[in-house]
Amino acid sequence: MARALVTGGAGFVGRHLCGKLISEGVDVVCVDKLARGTGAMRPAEWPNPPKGSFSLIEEDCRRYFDRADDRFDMVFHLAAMVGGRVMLETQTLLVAEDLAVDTDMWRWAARTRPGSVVYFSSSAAYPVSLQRPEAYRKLSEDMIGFEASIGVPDLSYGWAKLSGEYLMKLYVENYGGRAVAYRPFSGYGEDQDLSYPFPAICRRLLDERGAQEVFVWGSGRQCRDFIHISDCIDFVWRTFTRLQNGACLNISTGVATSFIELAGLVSRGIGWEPKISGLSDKPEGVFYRCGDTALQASYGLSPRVDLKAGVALTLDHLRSRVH
Amino acid sequence: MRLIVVNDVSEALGGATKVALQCIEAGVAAEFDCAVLVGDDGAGIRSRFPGVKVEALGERPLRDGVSFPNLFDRNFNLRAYRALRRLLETRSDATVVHVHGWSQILSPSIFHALARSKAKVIVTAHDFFLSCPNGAYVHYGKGEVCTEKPLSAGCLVSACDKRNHLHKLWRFARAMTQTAAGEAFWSRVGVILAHEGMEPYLSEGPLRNFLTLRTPSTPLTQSAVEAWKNSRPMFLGRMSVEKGVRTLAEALNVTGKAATLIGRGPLLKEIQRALPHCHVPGWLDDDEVAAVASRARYFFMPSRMPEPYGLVAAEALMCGIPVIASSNALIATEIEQHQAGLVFESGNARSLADIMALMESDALVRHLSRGAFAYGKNVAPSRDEWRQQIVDIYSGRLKFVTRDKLKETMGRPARQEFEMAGRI
Repeated sequence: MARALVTGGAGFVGRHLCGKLISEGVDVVCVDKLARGTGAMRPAEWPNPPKGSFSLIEEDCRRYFDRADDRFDMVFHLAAMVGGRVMLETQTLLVAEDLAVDTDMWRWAARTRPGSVVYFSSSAAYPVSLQRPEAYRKLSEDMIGFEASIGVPDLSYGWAKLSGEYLMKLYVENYGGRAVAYRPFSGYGEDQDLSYPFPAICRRLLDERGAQEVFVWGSGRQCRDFIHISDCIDFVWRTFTRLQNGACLNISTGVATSFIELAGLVSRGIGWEPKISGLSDKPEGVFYRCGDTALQASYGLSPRVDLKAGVALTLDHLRSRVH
Repeated sequence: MRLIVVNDVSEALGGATKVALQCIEAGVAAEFDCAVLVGDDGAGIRSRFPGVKVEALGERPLRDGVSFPNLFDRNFNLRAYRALRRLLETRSDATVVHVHGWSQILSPSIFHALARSKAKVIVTAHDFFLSCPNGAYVHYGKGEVCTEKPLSAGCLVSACDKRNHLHKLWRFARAMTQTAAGEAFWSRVGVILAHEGMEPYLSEGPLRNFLTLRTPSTPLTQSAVEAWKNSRPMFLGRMSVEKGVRTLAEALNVTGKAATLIGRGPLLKEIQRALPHCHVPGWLDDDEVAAVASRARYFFMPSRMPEPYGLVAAEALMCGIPVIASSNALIATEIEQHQAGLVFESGNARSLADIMALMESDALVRHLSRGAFAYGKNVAPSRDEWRQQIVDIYSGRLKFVTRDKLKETMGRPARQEFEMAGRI
């Protein structure tokens, strides 16, 4: 039986990935310390609690890397100190711990030689200079390279992910390992932690239903590329063995949606049309972050859940939780 | 939406026709208005898809024998041209034409008919006939991957054909006829690749729009194979020069290793004579193949050509049988990186024999078998995934990517890098 290690497997992306792997008949070992504020959940609380060949090791993955020499056919490395915008902006040194986590993972991989390592980087690794109001563009994979000058990524989280990609390059080139990386954009889903904008906006608008005016963070004009978690997982599963060794791939839809547009979509899904304004004292992040999809398309990838359907799914889920 | 599937033959003896039939099946299931143009009598399609309109020429493929008129009508088959024009005239709007095989009967004339229509044209590249006159990008005499630019002066004088140079010249002329459909036409054709590594071979000409969709595969056996407990390696494929069976036979004689070689083709008798210590039965049905696979220690993929994908290799990997692949196979690098098999230098029997000696180690075969099984989990899409994707391509939901955009975005390695990759 094929065996996979999923670090950070109890987090939002991790638990969906574990579900996919189990459904494909893969034996899954999940290592997660279930840190507060990261959206990690105990398996029994997952929307679809894992059945079959699944085991959880509740432990900091760095300790696991230090003590274990098990060999896996596939390693999906998602463990990271991560959260919503507030965490990224206010806990910058805590987030920088991801540098240490990634370093330990790559060293462990070089020691145990897994069949394939899948590193979850982030769209935050892209230079912020390409995401400003005066000069933004869709972000394509080639905009990050280590052969020429490199831009400034988004906060310590972006730096950590960029460094993680560089370590992957070293692992592939100097240690002969097989590894690929993904740069997810704004993944969302019904069971995502409320510290993320998508579920937070849905939750808030449900609570404020009927109000004349509602608010979103920042100017509200900032754009993100929202992609449903089922598409994220599908994209990874369908390509991780096909990508060239050391390659990175966006996980994006190529559709930019402003927070005001998103709030409009959500409120219409709820059944009313309030005035939507920004809250300038709240963090906004970069102005425009949207992924180029050409490379994904060349692998036959196309998202199946559009934003309207994703909003409906999330609203249904949040309503069911209230009831 | 209207879908016209174009293929030389209607009976699935090879992978291309099998895929063409699956496309018709997907189109019918999606309730498209489907029609088919085939060069043979169309019986294989009529019996399987009674509701589908079939335009059949009733002619014989070149592989069944060549006649003098074929010199001309396999270069430009006027009957195929007219038949496709008729189909296109009766299906004027929102028509998608999906071409699979044309080199055996239909000829490049179909592309001239398509160039005169506004239909969306998709071609699945099962081989390299879209750019290379001999369709394999291999110099048969030397047994090496060809490095000439297709249709250049170097290509014209290169005696690369498996028969003789006159035949090559005829193929060259046929490729010219194909190109004459015009750059404007070829630049709007969407090309479906069976493997990402095919693109550098096809993008030197006017083709611009690509997308990869691997062929759906099913494991050779129903349950996982514990390959390290077995002793006998196997080959499954066409007995022809480009599939590398001569290299394989030489290596099997050097090592004295007994193997099972399944398949038919022009070299079947020669291989049977060359390998008295091996089982070379010719064609076997699926149940017999499964029985052989369940007892296989590893699988040979000795292709001399840049094998686009290697469906049977994927099917072997899926049940945990390690694959010994030629360095020319486009999937070789993946096999090696995923520790699902080993790679030998294409055409070098000594290199293959050395690898076979390594494969005597149970520990190594066990390791590779496990890697093969893990890699086989998603080496190819399931039939359902594939069916959804092909319908998405027809409907335009899945879009082709232009060559320039692809190069800009990913810096996909040049053809030579693919050729070098995976060599030992």
